[in-house]
Amino acid sequence: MTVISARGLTASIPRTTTPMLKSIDLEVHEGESVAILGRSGSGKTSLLSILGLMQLAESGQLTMAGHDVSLLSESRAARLRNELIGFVFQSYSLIADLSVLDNIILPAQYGAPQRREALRARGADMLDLVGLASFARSRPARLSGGEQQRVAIARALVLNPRVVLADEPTGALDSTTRNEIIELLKSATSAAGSCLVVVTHDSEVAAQMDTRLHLSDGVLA
Amino acid sequence: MGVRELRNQAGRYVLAAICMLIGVLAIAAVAIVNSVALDMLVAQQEQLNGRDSSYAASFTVEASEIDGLLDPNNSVDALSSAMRESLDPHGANVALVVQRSMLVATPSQAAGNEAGASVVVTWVDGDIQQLQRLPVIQGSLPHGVYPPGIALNEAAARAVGYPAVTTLLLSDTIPGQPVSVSISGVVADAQPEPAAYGDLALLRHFFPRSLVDESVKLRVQGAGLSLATVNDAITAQFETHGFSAPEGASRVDTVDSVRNQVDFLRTVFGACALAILLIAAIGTANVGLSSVAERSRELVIRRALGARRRDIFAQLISGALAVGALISAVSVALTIVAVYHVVPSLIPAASSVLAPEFPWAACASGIAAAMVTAVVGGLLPAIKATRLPVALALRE
Repeated sequence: MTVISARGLTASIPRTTTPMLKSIDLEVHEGESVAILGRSGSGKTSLLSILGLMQLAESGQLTMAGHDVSLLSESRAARLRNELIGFVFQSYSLIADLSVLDNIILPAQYGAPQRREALRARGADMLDLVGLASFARSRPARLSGGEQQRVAIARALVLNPRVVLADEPTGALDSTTRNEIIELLKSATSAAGSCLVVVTHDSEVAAQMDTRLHLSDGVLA
Repeated sequence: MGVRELRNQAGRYVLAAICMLIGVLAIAAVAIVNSVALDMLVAQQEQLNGRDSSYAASFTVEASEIDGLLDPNNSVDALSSAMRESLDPHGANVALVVQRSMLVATPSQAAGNEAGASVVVTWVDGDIQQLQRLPVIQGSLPHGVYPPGIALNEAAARAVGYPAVTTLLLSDTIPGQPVSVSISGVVADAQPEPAAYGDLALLRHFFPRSLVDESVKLRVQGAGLSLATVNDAITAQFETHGFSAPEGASRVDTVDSVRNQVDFLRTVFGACALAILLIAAIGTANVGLSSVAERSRELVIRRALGARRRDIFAQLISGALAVGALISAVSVALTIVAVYHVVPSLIPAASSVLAPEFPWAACASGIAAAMVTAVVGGLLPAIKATRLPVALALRE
C-alpha cells in the first residue's frame, strides 16, 4: 500500500527563482525503507521539509496515507504531522528541560487527548523497546549521543506514525553506534508497520535501506 | 500548562518575575498610601482639629445671663437645643465648648497648701467624640455633675500620677472654693501639654462666674453639612434666643486639605508607579524575547512534533500568566503583611487611628498590575515564537 506519493514536486531557493527541487516523483510503500542520498545543497532538506509538511511545494501533488497534503493550512499541517509522521533529527533535538520519558510522550501533548497514565505506560514501553527503561526520569544531557538518538527514535514512534522521516540520523555518531541506531530504526519502524525515509550522505547507511535514491541538482533518481 | 512551563523554565522566568514584582509593588504601595495613609492622616487631623466637616462659631455669655444658667430653661441651653433641632435634618452633631485654664492639685499638693498646676480644661455640653476623635484609653468620659469628674489626657495623667492618684482638687483662677473631682478616665488627644475634659454642666454648677465674658464655642459637625447651612441656622436661632449672632462660623477641621495633599501625592506616585510598571512590562518582554531566542530550537521542534501556533502561543503566554499569578500572590501577601503588621506597628497604642481594614484596593491593584504586566510583557515573545518557521527544525 502506498503511503507517500509525490508527483512533480518543485521548490525554489527561498526569495529566488533558482529551482531547488525539479519535478520530484516518489512513492514509498508501507513497511518500506528508503534512503535519499545527496551532497550538501542538493535539496535533501527541502525535500524532507515538504515530505514532513513543514513547507509547501510550489507545484506538484503530494498525498500521504490517503490525504492530499499538497495544500494545507498551518493548523491542519500540524495535526497531520502529529498523526502521520515521526521525526528523527540529526542532533537528536530532545528538550533539555524535560525528562527522557516526558520527551518521548511530548508528541501526544499535541494530539488527541489521552489519559496520562496510559500515555506514560506507552512511553515506558517505547523506552523498553529502545533499551533505556532505566533512564525514564533522567535528563537528556546525562545520556550519550547514541542513547539520545534512541530516545529520539522512541519519540518518533510513540504515536504509531505511518511515516518516519529521519534527517541524517547517524550524522553525529561513531560507526559502531551508527550501525546500532540504523538497526534499531529499521526494526522499530518495521515492527510498527511504518515506512522509513532516511536522508543521508552516508552510503553505508543507505546500503541498509530497501530502496536508495539519489538527489542531485534537484533531480531525484 | 502555565505551571508546567514555569517549572520547566524556572530560571528564565525569575528575571521576568523580578521585573514584574518591582512594578506591581509600586502600584500596591500607591494603593496602600491612598487608603491606609489617608486614613491615618485624616484620623490625626480629626483628633487635633475636629472630625470631617466641623464648623465653629464663638460667642460670649453676658453677666446678666449667668444667674439663669442654672435654670433648666435658660437661654443658652434653649439656644443649644434649638440649634440641634434646626440642624438635625442634616445629621449634624451640635455642642457648646468652653476651654478654660483651671488649677488642678493632687490631694498631697493640697495638703501642702500648694496651688497645683494650671491645666486647660475643655468643658463640653454634648458628645465631644462626635466632634473630634478622642479615644478613651482608660475609664470613661465624665457625664453630668455628680459624681464630679474629669478625664485627663496622657500628659496630665502622667503629671498627676494617675492611676495612683484618682482624685484631684479643681479650682478656678477666680478665687473660690476648690472642688474635689475624680479622674473618670484617660483620653488620647495627641496634645503634648496636660489637658482635661469635663461636662460643661459641672463648670456651670460649681463655677458659674467663670463663664462671664468667656468665649463659648458653638461646634457643629456633620458629613455633607455646608457652611451656609450652619450660618443660616446660627443667624436664625441666635436672633430668636436673644443673642447677638457671631460674625459667622468657620470650618475648623483640615480633612479636606489633607485629602487634597494625599490626592496630589497619589497622582505623583501613581504616575511614577505606572512608569515603573511600564518599565517592568518592557523588562518582562525583553526577558521573554531573549528566552524565545534561546529556546527557538525547542519551539520549532515542538512545532515539528505537531504543536500548532496557538499551542506555542498558549504555552508561552500561560508561563507569563503563571508568573503574573505568582507575583499577584506575593504582592497580596506583602500588602497584607504591610497593612496588618507594619502599619499597626507605626501607629501609637493610644492613637485615634483605627486598625486598617482588609486592603481590598491595594490587593486588587496588585493583582491587576501583575496580570496586565504579564499579558503586556508576555504577548510580544509569544507572538514572536509563533512566527518561527517550523522548517528550521531541519536546519542544525
